[in-house]
Amino acid sequence: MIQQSDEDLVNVSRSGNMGAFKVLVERHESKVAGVVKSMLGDTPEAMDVGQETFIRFYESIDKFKGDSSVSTYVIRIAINLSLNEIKRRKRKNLFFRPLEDGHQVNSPDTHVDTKEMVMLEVSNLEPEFRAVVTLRLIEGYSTEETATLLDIPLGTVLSRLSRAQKKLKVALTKHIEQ
Amino acid sequence: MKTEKAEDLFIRSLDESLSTTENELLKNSLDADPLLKEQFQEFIALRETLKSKQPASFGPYFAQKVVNKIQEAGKEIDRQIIFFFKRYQLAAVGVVIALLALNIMYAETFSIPSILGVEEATTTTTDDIITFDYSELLTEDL
Repeated sequence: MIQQSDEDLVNVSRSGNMGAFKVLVERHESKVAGVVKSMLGDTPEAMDVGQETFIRFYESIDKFKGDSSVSTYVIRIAINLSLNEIKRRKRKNLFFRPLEDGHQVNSPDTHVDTKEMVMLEVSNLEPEFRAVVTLRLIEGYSTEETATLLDIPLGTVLSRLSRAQKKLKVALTKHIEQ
Repeated sequence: MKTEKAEDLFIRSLDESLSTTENELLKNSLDADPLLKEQFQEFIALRETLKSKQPASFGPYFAQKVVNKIQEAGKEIDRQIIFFFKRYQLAAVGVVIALLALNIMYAETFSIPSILGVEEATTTTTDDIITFDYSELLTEDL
């Protein structure tokens, strides 16, 4: 069976064909989930943001002109919604839960592997640094792609990355010393 | 080589493969600057630690859940209606133009209201209308 391109599926979805849209969701779920979960942790809010990302995409599908790929378009929506969610959390003064419920990563007595420890510190970074680290280091987008997705200059990506790295180093050193 | 150039080369080396000369340049500058070398090694280590290795997911039936939410909100019906009318919009515009042309052809005057059928096209003004004089009838009877 010939696999339909994203553009074909978008065109069919415009007419209200939910089957075509479902295929698009299935195709891009993994990338969106990677970004959203890295930004928000594996939380129920991450799932809500994931759903909202695709609903927003459906609502604005007529505005999608194909200048960028579907993947870039949905990741942009996901990043913006994740940043909004982080702001909302801050307003509510909620503590960020970086990992699955049940993991007590904050406790110094609990054994955590390096990745969990680093992820915890990434989750404590300011949102703009977290977004760059998520896309560039966790999801493996190139520096240029990261700049495009966040709509910031290439130089800003590099400087944020460098500053984030320094912040992480300081935080992780403290962690290890504890 | 300047640190900035070495940093540029390093960043590029993460995104694309460098030429042999560029690789040599990068290696030499890293060897010459232990601090920079350490920084770069930390960056690579950090990237390796954080790199997502498994495809992420929102759990089973995620796509179906999204579709259900859209359908519950009736958004796909709105889209189907719009799409239905979009298909016939050119034909509809053609019919409207044809009706206007017919109106123009049969209108006695060429005012915009008469073309649009807002008021009856007539040359008779209200002053020309002669009102019936009932008093005359009354005098004749007497």
